[in-house]
Amino acid sequence: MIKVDNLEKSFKKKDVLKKISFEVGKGEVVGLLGENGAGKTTLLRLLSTLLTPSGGNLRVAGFDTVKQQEQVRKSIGVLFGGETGLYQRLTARENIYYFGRLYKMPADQMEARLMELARYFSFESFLDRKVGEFSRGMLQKVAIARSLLHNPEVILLDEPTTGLDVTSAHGVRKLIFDLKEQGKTVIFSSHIMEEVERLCDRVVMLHNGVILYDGGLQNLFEKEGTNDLERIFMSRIGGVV
Amino acid sequence: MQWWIIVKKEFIDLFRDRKTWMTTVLIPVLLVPLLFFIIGNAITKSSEEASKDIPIAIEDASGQVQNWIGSNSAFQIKSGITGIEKAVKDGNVRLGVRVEPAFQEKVEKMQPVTITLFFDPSDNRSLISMGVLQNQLNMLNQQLLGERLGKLGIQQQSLTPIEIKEINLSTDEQMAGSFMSLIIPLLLLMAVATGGMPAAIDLVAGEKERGTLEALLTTPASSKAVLVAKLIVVSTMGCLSAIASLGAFAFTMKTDAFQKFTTTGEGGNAGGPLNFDFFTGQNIFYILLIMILLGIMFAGVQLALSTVAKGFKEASTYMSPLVIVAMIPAYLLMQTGAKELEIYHFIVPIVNVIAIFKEFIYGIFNLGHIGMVIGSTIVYVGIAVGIATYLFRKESFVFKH
Repeated sequence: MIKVDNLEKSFKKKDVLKKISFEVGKGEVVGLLGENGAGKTTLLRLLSTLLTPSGGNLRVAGFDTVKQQEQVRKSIGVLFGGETGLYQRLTARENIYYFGRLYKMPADQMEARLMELARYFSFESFLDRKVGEFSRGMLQKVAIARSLLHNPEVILLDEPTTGLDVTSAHGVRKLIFDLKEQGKTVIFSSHIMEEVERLCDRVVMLHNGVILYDGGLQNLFEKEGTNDLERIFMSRIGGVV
Repeated sequence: MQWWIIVKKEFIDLFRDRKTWMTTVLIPVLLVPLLFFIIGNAITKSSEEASKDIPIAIEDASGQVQNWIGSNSAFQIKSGITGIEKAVKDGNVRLGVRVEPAFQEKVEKMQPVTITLFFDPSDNRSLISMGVLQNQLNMLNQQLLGERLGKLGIQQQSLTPIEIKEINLSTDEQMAGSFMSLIIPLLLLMAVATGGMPAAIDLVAGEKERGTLEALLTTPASSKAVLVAKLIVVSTMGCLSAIASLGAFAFTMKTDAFQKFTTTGEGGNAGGPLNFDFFTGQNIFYILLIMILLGIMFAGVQLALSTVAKGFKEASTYMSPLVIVAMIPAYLLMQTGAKELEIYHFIVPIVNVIAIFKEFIYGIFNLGHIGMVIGSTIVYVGIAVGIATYLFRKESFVFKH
């Protein structure tokens, strides 16, 4: 579903990603681990066509992210961390419909999907309220619903639980489980090791623009002789354990 | 038609933002009449106040001049003042008059006499009061002259061998045009330049700050469609602001305050009755066309600046000089008559718009000049939009790293 081949990305003279390669199969949930500045967000932006690679190839759902941007965008649902990307003066319904129209969804299909997502995230009663009045957790629910509206095959989530309270974070984790059940491909970045352990089939550890580890968690635990992912991560990046 | 989906959403979003509407429409609609009302009333009030109850100190041994001035109720003669120069300087009186001690004697001997007037030109009221005093003394002068000529047996009319007649060949439209040609293009330019600013800041720098631009650009909408939509919205807001300003100006023209403003000369001695007769169907078509082009040009520049800015505050800082950029050409052409305009006036950006509006207002319709203005403005629109497109496609400006 995702093929990253010798991918490079530089900003001015700084190399943020240095010839990284990995593949993600359909229905896999992959956790991106790394410190701030390791290149996680840059990788997600490259996958979502927001940035153009400086070198190498990148294919999502079989489409080239540079030459077939529109097809890639139709196949992905994106949520960037920290910012919910919602219009404060519009209602939840207007925000979601706006994106649905940009995905050229038929009105009846859009309404049915909206109601399905609103029920799932329990915000039916808030649908016609301006999102400027929402709590951080509620905003995140609407933002995720917006990114899943067109039922994408690939979901890219950048630190989706950052800044959320326990209940909201639990809701997001449950969603990732459910997406996995539905056979969706999910890549999400996180600083929370526990979350990654619980949700992922695989982890990709990034450090200074290179991949330190790419593989299954069980393999990693056996190789390192411990089940403590945080300890493993710290030892791999050369930090104090 | 993704650009149209974005345009509709932007208008709904902006319509709900009170700040944007206040800056774009409400402020011009309220400010223009208010400005003329306040200025018009202030000028009238100041002029009326300066022409009555004028405190004056007079040194006149003969008492003749003092009586003459005192016969006009506009003056309040202050007695007991010594040192009239100091009294005027200190503001104790507005005017001072010193009459030559031998006034009576010299008048009788038909010799010239001197009356010295003291005033403070830094005080506008003193200047206006001075005019009233000069009129009063001129009448005394005429009276004494008549008496002297009578004694000599000469008719006063024979002292005016040449009678000068002034005939005004300007039409009312042209006279009004001298004032209108300054104020209307300035109002329109200011409105077009500033009306779209809040929208331009909000739609790019604001969206970057809130993270909505990033989300928008992950949808199938191309960056070209996004930029086109934003250009349409920003230029529409600029044009709306211009129409609001013009409407407010048209309304203000009908008010007494405006008439006071123009008839006192502060409005550039409009002279004739001000009207919008130059707004013929033909002119309206070209004015609207030029205004729309100008709106797109400013929108291009504003969106380019908003793209370069990291956030809301930075974008506001970058855009504030645009107001001055819009004002300078209006002032540059202030003293240039509609018939004195050179070819380059119709080509230089912004100056060309002022120049062609000036011609319209003076009733001149020159298709060649109109073509030059439209042609050159289209080139500037292309440059502004080109720069905005280039910057909007630069990752380093659109995304925070």
